[in-house]
Amino acid sequence: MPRHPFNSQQTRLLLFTLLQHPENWFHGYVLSRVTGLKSGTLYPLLMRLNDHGLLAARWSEPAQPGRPPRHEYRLTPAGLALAREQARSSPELIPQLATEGAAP
Amino acid sequence: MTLQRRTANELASCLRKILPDYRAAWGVGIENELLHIQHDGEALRWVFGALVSACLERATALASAPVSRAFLCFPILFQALGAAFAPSLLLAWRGNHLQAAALLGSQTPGDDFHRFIPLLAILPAWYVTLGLFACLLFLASAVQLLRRSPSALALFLAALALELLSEAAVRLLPGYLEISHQVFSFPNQNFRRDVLIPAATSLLPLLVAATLGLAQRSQPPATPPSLSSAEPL
Repeated sequence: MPRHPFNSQQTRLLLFTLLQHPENWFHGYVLSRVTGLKSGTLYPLLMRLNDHGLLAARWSEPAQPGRPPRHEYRLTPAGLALAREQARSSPELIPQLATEGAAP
Repeated sequence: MTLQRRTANELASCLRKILPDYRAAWGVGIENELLHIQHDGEALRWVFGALVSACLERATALASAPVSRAFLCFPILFQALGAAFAPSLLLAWRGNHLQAAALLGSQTPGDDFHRFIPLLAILPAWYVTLGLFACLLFLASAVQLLRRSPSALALFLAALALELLSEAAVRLLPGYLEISHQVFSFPNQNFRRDVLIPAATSLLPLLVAATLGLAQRSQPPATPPSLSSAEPL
């Protein structure tokens, strides 16, 4: 059985960011800018969350014709439930998101 | 196009090749993200970070493969034999099973267990217990590794800790260090005996522990999850 990477501060920060706008899809670079997580940290987290059905991933329509599509992400209902549960247990992280401004 | 941007693009294409097949969509996603990073230096840092995680994903996939797991059992079994060796020799000598002692002694430098008698005479019973228990823990680790259980690493580390504790404790015995120095001194220098084997036996458990850690980092999914959860364009 795999170890669930849900308890690290980075994971919780990512979950809270996605929780701020649950209906929006986020691109990887935007998530990196908002959370402050580097790509080497962010993408393994995104992959693990996706592996466990907590994160949905899709290809977005390119903004300009001829450009390749972008991968974008948002929480699944299970992911939202986990994020809310962790928000209750880690309220100290929420002000950090408020100052960084979690906007898509 | 600046050198930084060209390098970032090249690294991104390497990243796609490094990632395991079931992460292919992620590799494409990371590469496509580069086009939306305006600053070339930032793009290079972005792809470099992702490249490190791609290498880790590949290493995890390799370590998690059934062949890798089966192969990893061999060094673990080697560790188990090592942990049981001295206690077995001690039990054989004290139980007057001289044939068994001679057989074990033939596996040592000098091919004779009689050299170890001064050392065997002062080793306590708890040394046997700890050594055999460490051996059992190593064997349990190998079994759990084959069963893909996350406890394999914990068992391996526990066995290692027990071995180290046993060796540290036995050094505190009166006279142990002097007798040990006499027993393990040889008139001629031998690179294999004096350098290679000690280095290998010191490094091997670290490599095994690191590989076990990678193997249990995350199980690769049976089907590519990104594509199954992604909505079509």
